[in-house]
Amino acid sequence: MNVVERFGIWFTRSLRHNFDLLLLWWVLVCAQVMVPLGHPLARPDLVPWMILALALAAMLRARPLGEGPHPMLAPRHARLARRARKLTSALLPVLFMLLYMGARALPPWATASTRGNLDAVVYPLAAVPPGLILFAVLARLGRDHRLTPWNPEKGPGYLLWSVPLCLAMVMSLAAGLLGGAADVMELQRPVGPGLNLGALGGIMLYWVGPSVLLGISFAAASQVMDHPRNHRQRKEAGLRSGEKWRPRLFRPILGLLGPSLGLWMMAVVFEWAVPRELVDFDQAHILSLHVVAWAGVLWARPQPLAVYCLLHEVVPVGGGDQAEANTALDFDRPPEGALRLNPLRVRRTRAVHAWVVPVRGARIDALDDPVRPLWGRRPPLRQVHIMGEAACEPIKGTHNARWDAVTIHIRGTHDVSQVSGADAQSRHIAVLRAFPVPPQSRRAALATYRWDRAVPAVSHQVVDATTTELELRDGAILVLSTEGVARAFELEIGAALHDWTDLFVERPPQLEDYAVMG
Amino acid sequence: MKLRLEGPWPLDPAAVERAADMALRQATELRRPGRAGEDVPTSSEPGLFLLWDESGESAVTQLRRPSRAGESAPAGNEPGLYLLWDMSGEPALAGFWLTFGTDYLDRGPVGPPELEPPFVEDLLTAATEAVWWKYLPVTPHHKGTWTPTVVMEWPAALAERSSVPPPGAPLAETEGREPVQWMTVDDMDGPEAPATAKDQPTQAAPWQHLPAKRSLLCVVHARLHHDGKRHGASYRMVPPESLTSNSTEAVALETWLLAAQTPPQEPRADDDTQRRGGALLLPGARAGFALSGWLTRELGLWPPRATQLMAGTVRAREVRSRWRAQAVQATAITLAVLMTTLQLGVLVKAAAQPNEIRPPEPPPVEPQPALSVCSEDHAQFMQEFRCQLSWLAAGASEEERICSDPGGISPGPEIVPLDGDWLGHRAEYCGLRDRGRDGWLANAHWSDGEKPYVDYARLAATKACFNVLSYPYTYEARGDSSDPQSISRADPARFFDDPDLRIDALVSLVRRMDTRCDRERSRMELQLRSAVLATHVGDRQPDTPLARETEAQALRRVARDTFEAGLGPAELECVSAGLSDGVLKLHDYPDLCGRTGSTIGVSESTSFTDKPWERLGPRPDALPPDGADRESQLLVERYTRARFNSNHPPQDLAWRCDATLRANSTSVRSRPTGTWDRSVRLARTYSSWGLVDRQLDLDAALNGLESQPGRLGVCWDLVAADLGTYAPVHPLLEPPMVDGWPSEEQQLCGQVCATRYRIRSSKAGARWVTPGTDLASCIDGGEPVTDEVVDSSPDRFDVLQLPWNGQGAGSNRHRTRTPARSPASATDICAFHLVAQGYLGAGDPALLADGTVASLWAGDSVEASRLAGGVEGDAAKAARSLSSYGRARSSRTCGDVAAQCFATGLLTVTDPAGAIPYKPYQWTRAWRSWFQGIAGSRRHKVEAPSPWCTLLTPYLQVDGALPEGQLDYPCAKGVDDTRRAAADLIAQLAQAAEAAP
Repeated sequence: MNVVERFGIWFTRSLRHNFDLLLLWWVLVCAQVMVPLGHPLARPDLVPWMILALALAAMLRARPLGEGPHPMLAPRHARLARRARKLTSALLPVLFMLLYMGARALPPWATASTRGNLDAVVYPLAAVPPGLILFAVLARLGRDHRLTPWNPEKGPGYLLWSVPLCLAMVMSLAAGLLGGAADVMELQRPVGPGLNLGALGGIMLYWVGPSVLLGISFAAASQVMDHPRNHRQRKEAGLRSGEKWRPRLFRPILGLLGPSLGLWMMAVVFEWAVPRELVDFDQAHILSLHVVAWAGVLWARPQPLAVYCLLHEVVPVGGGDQAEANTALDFDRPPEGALRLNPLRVRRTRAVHAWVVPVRGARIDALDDPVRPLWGRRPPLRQVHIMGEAACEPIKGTHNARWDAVTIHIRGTHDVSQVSGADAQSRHIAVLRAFPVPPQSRRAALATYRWDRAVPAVSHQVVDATTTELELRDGAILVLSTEGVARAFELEIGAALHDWTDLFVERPPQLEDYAVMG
Repeated sequence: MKLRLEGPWPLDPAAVERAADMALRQATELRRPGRAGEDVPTSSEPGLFLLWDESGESAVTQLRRPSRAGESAPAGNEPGLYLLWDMSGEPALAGFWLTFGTDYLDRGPVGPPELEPPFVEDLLTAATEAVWWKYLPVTPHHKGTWTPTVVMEWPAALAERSSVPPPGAPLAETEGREPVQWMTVDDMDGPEAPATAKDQPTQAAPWQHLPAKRSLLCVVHARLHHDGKRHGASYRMVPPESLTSNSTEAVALETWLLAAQTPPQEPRADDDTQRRGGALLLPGARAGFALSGWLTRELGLWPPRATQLMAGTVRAREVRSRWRAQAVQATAITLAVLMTTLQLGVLVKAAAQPNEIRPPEPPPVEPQPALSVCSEDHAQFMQEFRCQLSWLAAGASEEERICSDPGGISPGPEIVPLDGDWLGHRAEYCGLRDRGRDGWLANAHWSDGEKPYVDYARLAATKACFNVLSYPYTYEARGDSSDPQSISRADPARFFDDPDLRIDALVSLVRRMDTRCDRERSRMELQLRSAVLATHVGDRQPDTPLARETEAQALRRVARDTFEAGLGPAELECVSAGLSDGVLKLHDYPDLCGRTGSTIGVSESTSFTDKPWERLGPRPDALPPDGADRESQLLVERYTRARFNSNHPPQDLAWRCDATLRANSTSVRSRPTGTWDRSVRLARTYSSWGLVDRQLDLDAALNGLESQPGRLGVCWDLVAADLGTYAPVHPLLEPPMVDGWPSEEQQLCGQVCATRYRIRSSKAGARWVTPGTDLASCIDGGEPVTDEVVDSSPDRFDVLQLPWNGQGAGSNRHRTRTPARSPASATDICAFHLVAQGYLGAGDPALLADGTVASLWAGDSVEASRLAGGVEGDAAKAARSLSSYGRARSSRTCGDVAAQCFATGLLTVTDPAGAIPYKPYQWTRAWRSWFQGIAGSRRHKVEAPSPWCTLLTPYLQVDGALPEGQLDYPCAKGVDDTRRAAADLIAQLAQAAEAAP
């Protein structure tokens, strides 16, 4: 797999996994043109627009930057708490923005500058106390979100979130004051090409405030999704190696510094490199892209442990060849029935079978999260059914995990042609795929009868003794025929499972539970 | 090497990874620092622990169970999963040991399609998931690479029932192979039934010393490797011969396990058999035999061939630290967003940037000389300037005080009025300025400058400026104060040369007008010379492009092409305008060269919108009122009036010729050229119809001028100069002999006839464009040449004439009884003279009979005049003889007449301008047709045969038969001989014409 193919896979996978953020960005781009000039959202320092993008992204994706609870503990799921916690995550950057705006307007007003305006100071700051109250209410409503039962070391938990919150508020005020000082000094930003070191300093100072605010907002919106007891659990459990647990600070630091440094660099380079162009509301789409990109990095979708799949029993649509006067049709007349099962012309029956398929990533869980297990965990049962071992395996070449395709390795331990035991039966399995996935060839090659429309070769795969691997995607049709009786199942890949506690508590249903006895 | 097996853990052949995961996790837990010293698992750990005692010297000593109450020590060969520890130093995991039970028969591998050893991938995956390099002490371990050994053991209960049972092992009574109960027909004489162990005492004898419990083994060498980024694993089966020797002695456990740690060799290509190795000692007083494959659930050996064994691999894993991976990802995302935003910003900026439409460059701002030259009142300056120009152009000298000069005079009635001067004074200015080209300069001797001579145009500008400035003292000449001519005189040097006093606006104005004058003068002269050429040579081109070009027009075209050689596009327009319109339609400079001065080849500054020019007169669209005297308004006339006068006549040929043509002073109508007794007409005025429409005359004139320039006047000299590269085409063939026979002119005309009728090919080729008029000039001689004519006009051009053409003699016109008869054709005349000059009559074949002299055949018009075509020639006399009865009709006589007749026929055939212009390859057939028409064939009837041919009609037979035995046979013979010669001659001419380029 060459670099171009790897990039293509990486790109398409990134787009697919971050489609919600891309959609958000597109909505923001479309909404940008509707914002009139002079509107508070259209401030030239882009802070309101930036916070709006961050709040919306937090509503979609906000996740804690810490390591989370102990993986062996079952989190609590509550819809109201989840929504309240999401709103809390979105509200916090707005509070910081109000502090920033009020603080930024303070120096011009204090120095009686032409830009000074007391309303610009009072109004934002006056909105902070109600915002804090709302924040407290939402935090209280959302405290059960993903709350785990074990709280080994009870203590003043409010300190764990109140101190960082106060610190973040102070930093927001400081960033606003810095921006206001820059306004008072009226530093020049370059509007023409060429190296202008003095103007470069003006750019750098001008964008410090918004950059700091963005980093604080990202970090706060992430940490508000966490629980103090998560850290206590890990501290109590220790590591597999017997060492003491130490909190990993990389992700919080990355969330604090990454977006802010990125925004600062981007604004400085843009204003310095693009002639006669300043970063103002005309470039709000760039800022939106920056925010959603960092949201995708910091709040990436976690790799699931497994995916739920459904096997719908299907029957072909059509058929109904009617004999004419009790005589068979001539051979030169194509039958109207389905001699070949068309995967696009099937009808689901009411029989649905669940199938849990684990997701195998390229990474090792024990390496990434070396927390000591709290108790001996029974390993997951083997995903064995009549066709072999099914799993969502990483993409070959890039080693990125995926859960949109089920790979089945057929081994010698699993005979696909016969049922073991006394009642030996001849069994045939075929897989029908309506839409071959690139780079598989879509050139039509197979046709059973001359009136059949030719289909690609990969659209029809017969599992025989030489078949070692099968790849099933959404919509694939499994046809099992046993002693002349055929049944077809359509694969539907469903939601992903992320918690160990939801998985493998018992033997998952197997295909053969339904198919063998048919 | 001290080894220890730890286990067993429950082993399900269908879930080996699960068992390995459990075993490794519990082993890790046991060795956790906090649990040091404990050797029993927690109660939560399922399974049974068997710990080997490593207290003795031997690696394998005694099994012991964990100290649990009520449990006895196991047998040591219980099925399950064991971990293989190396206890040489710190305990380290060295591999896995799988002992299968009876469930293997249900859940073991079936064989195909697997070609890699089973279960190993699951074991290695479990070790990877347990992060062996971080949480497990392993051995042998070197630089991130661990090479564990995996042993699969099928104990005696399974091994003895397999298709490859251990040797020498007695079968169990109840598990022996089924005895042969059936005997088919084929077996009656076939191989014996399989022998049981009891039937093979000799085979079992070498293994009697081994323990009774004998297993089958499959040993696999694995390799796990990680480099900080990726983790990979592979495994390959160890061949039996790598573990044992050829002897029957059993190999110790530590020995063959140590050998298994060596990477195995790939099976040889010729190693195509499955086999069982030698005896290996196993823990628990057992022995084992390694296989070259593994047992399936049917206890058969798989794969059937050793060469089918393949190395297995385990899925690669990502083991780079997570924060590093995320840091790389964050950096990449930051850079990607940065680059994207930059590119996006640039693209949006480029897309949103309105297209800049540059307005046309405004013309450079020029100073407005008229507004700032010399006076604020520009009109006053221009009036004075025009006045000065008018006076000087009218002939006033530089010393006269005119216009507003101090003590000057008012303009007289002969001066062009200043107001309403629609023509302006450009021609006058340029004429005055170009006086200097002829060395006519104003002598401003009162000037203080080093060079008192200035051109008159500059003098006019100086005086005008001086006068409108009210005679400033600063610009006044400081010459001799005693000289009254120096009083209140403008000094041109101060106006133009003095760095402190000069008026730049005036200097710029004069300089730019001088530049324009130079350009327009060359264009005007070019148009003038073209008009002179059109007056003398050829005819104007047809008005419609599809009209057929006449020879005179072709001659004009040749002359024009010669004249235009080396000229640019702008000059070509001038030539075209001169040839078509002459100079009599020029009223102002914008009319030059067909009013193309602003579009072709002339820079913008030379257009007639030029400011300086405008200041000298109104715009050119101000046309003269109807009824005005156009002659007096001609541009060239005003220019020449300003430039020349009687004391300074023009020196240039063009202007001299122009003066001649516009003066109508040529009194002589024509003048001999001095060549070939040709004369050409002299032009009296401009015309677009040329005086010469024949190339013969043009060549004669140019040849004459080459030897005697000026012979034909200045205009012909100008034409000769303009046609300097023209190559005359006459004479068409070789130069005529001055003293030869016939005369030089008739030789010249003979060449015209020979070339015109394609008897000979000329080097002139396509350059000869007037063949028709040249031929007409050769035969249009009027009455026959007599003694009186020759004596009276000795320089008369000797035309070609026919001595007899029917009745009478010596005329090119037919003397026939019928007035309607046409005169002698050019074909007849040319035929006669081509025969006379040897183009047809001499050589081989020859139309003239042997012994006939061409000059005698043709005769002289006047005795000793060297003019061919006399009535006393043999041809004329023979024609007269045949025209009446009773005269001599010999073969010679008839041959002479036939020569003229058939020569006429030949030229009729070869004539390119005839009724049917035959191709050379058609000449022979056309000749036969002509002859048959002359001979009376109705099919090829000749409408107006030559009188010479009429005389021969009785002797011309279509079938060629001769009047044998009749009186006129000699005449017929003479005619027939000539006919044959003519037929051969036309074939020869056709061949030569076809070969000609």
